[in-house]
Amino acid sequence: MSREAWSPSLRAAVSSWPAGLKLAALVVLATGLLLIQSAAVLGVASALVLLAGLLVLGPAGLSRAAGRWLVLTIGCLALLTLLIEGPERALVVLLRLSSLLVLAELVTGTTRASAIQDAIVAALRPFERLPFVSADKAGLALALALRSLALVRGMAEELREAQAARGLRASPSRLIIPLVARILREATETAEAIDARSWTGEKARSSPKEPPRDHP
Amino acid sequence: MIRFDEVSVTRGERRVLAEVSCVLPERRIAILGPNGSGKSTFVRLINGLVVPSAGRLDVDGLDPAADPKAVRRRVGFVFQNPDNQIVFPIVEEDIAFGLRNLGRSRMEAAEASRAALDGFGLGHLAAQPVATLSGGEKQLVALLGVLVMQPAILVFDEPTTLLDLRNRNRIAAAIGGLDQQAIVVTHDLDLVAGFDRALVLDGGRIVADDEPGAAIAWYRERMA
Ligand SMILES: Nc1ncnc2c1ncn2[C@@H]1O[C@H](COP(=O)(O)OP(=O)(O)OP(=O)(O)O)[C@@H](O)[C@H]1O
Ligand SMILES: [Mg+2]
Repeated sequence: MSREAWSPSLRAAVSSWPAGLKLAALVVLATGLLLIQSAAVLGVASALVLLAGLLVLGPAGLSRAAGRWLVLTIGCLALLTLLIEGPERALVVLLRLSSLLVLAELVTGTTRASAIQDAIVAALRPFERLPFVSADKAGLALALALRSLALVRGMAEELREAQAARGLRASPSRLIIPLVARILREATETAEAIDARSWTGEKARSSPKEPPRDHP
Repeated sequence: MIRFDEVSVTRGERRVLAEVSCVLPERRIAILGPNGSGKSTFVRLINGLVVPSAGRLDVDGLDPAADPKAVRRRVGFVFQNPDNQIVFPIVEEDIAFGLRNLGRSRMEAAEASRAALDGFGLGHLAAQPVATLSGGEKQLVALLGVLVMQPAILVFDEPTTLLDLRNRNRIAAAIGGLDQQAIVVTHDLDLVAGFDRALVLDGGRIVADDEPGAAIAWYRERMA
């Protein structure tokens, strides 16, 4: 992966930053992007984000992050805004969503899922006294969500190819039902596998390890 | 030891498993049978992923229906499709996942997963994204993720179905070399040649129970 980056050393440096710091920066910057209303200011901010994306992830990393469906979705939203609210708002929507996408990839592309999980768990631990807050569940859920993004991207591509092979033209409506069905099926299996690997959704207690049983 | 005592599983109107009783003390046990005969249901009962509608199970003195968490620490489960059981995107962090679930610290888990990967001759894969592994490597990683947790019993549900011959042989060798008891659902009749015992399921019942040679011969004839 690193050979696709324009600056492998920069990528390595960003990768070594603490996950918690990167997540906090993501939250702050994303909030900033959502608050900026001026197209000009947003343009400058987006240019900076894009530059950072190019330097750290490289063009290949960026285009992989974007993916056809995501770009199409952002395009559709911008087009809708153009029709309803005019060109300036459309530009704002376009810049805002694409720089959010790049920012998110900057964090997830340089941070291990387990490190993100640990950071979330650590951040939420103090709030566990509140009802319905489970730091461990939130941490695993987020790590899984990140993993699923890549999986769903791959699945959509496979389904599209399978339909193309049967002479069907790709269309979102043809894709969505088999895609959802498959996501649900595989999610069920993954949930079982997580159970089977003794995940309990609570801070694991250190338990004495039992030696393998002997067989005659 | 695993004991099934008149275990039935009903799904809607269907009896997926019908009053199955057996005791499974052998070290290598194969579960054979046609598609839909109840093999997966049978082995999922062993670690509490499926709960009996009637009857009782005993796994080393524990009841999987009553105490699935304790049973899952003793019983490791390897599924057919490694894509769905590898949870984390990087090989070593996935291996570490199970260890963290057992209460190891992040450092201990990381060290133990490295050591396990090295021990399996897979050290070079440690930092590799799971998405870039071959099917056989994925299944080995999935197996290792379960093995590091040192379960007393290992259950496999069609571990070689998605693999080519070379990778199938690697998994077969890995299963052959296990110290633990292994219960293996498979359509791969060569895999079970050296096993101690084979059960054949059909329509939710055990229809043959013998040493593998005899059970396979019976199964071949019956399915012809
Ligand atoms: N949740 C469910 N709801 C309804 N029917 C089910 C359910 N789970 C399993 N079955 C049915 O139970 C039967 C046995 O399923 P099981 O998965 O145990 O078979 P199997 O022997 O593992 O088959 P295969 O070789 O295809 O994996 C099948 O006919 C299946 O359709
Ligand atoms: Mg099955």
